[in-house]
Amino acid sequence: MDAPLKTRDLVKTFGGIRALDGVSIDVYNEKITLIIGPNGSGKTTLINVITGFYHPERGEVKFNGSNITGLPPFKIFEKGIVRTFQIPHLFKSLTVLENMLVASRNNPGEKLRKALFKNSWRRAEEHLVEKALRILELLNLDHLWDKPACTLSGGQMKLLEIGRALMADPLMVLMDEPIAGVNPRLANEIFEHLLSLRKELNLTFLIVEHRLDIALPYADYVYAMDRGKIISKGSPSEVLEDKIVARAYLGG
Amino acid sequence: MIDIIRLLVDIIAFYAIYLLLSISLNVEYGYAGIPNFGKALFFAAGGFVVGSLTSRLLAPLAGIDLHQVNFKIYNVLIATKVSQYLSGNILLALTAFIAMIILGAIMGGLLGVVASYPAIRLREDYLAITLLAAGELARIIARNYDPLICGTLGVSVPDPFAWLPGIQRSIVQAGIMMSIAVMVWLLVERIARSPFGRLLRAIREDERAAEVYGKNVASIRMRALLIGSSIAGLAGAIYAFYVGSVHADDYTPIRTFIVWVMVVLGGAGNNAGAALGSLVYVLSDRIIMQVKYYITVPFDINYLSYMAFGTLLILVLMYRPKGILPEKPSLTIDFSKVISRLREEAEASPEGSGG
Repeated sequence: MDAPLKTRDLVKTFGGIRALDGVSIDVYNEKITLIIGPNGSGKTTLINVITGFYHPERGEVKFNGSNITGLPPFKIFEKGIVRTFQIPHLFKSLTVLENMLVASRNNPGEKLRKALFKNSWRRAEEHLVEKALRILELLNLDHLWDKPACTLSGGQMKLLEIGRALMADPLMVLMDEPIAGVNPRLANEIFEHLLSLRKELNLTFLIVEHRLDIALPYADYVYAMDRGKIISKGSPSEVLEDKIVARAYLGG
Repeated sequence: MIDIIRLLVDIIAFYAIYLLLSISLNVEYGYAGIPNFGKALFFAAGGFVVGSLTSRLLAPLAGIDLHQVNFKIYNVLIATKVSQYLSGNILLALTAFIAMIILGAIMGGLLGVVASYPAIRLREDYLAITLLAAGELARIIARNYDPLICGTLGVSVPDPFAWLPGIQRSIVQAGIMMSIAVMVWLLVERIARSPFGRLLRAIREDERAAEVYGKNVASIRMRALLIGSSIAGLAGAIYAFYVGSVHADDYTPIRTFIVWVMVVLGGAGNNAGAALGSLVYVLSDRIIMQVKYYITVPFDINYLSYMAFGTLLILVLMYRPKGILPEKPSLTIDFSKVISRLREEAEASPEGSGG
């Protein structure tokens, strides 16, 4: 199987704690790869290392064959990786539509040189509004387009984060607990959205989640982490039946 | 009797200067969220350029050999001679004025990049402290290093409008100042209503998310500071020409804070707010200055303006924390028009929006 994202032997320490202790994973193309593990097992740290927020002490991250270890987040974005946060990081006082527009790639009007000349970016801006509206319709957020993001409900914020990620035409989306704090019905809805998006847009997902009951049925491949190490990997059923995983979760 | 015309001209001239300063802070703080507490530094940059260079560059043309005279002691005389020379050469006078204010803007922008470079990647508070310190540093250097603007004595600035008689001179000068300020305001408003303006606001709201979406936050912030500082440098140069002299102690942090009051009062992130805030300030400040001779208060009358603005600021923060004119979404294009057109198109096609 083709794996565009590979990490090899990543090590990240905070003081005396080894948050990542030699993590190697493969994220397969157009699949939903799930990382599970109890709190503090290093899942979010892994996302932060892949997306350039933390520099690993050792190991490397490869995306489509090129080494992206330690690149700043905005360079990682240029390679085609977009991430979402556990707590939505929206541009709070900007409207829903503005949040979407900022997320787009290569908007000519964002260059200071061109900003003064409306004719140089008006058409691009119109196209982006059209694209944003289509994504918002997909997520049932289109009626809220002119509302400030801070007025949305928690679930809508989660959806907007996903919408914003899609706006950037990513090759791969890394999601940090997309259903944390969301009721089970909406949580399932979010995953249904992800499934249909993957099919429509040929997207690859790497999702960190610890609500196994909801997330597992949607996953194609699962890694289980504990104390900075990968302790199990395989199909959802294989990992679920692994005794080591059960012990990690139950704290045995 | 108060000379109404002179008062009006004075108000317009000062409004032009403070309008420039408040929109420059609005770009940095209102839009980009950069707490620039060093506004006085960039304002001073323009003033120092005008003060240190105008006389020196034009003196040889006016027949003064700078090697023969002590510039520090005789700078007032030299400036007067240069003014006389300029009054006979309108073209040169205006060229000098325009060249010096452009140079002031360039110097301001340059200093904006240099002074913020060490801290632009740090958290906002550190940037604020760095800029505040840089401003004081520049003022203290100018105060003690005579060759720049003659130290504590200050330096006289030649008058590029000396060719006009009496009050006409002030009217023309104030008119030119105001036109420059309005032009800059329009430019900044254009930037604010562009995707670049939206990007600045996004970075202000959430730096990490902006980085996730491929925005080089440090470099974009630097750009905002470059714009803001150039405008402040321009304002400083215009101010130096208007008051006719440059003194280091004119550029204390209080200037910075006054500009902050204007922006917070008027509404950060709204250029109209910045314009209103500075208008309120200049009007009341100038009027207080005029009436202070006619009223008696049991304290030093010079504090009246500070007290009035302190109270006003507290009231606005209590009852309208986003300023008199709060921020609005940057309508780069007419979104509702585009969206309703798209919806109509979707309804018209049988496939619906999916097609």
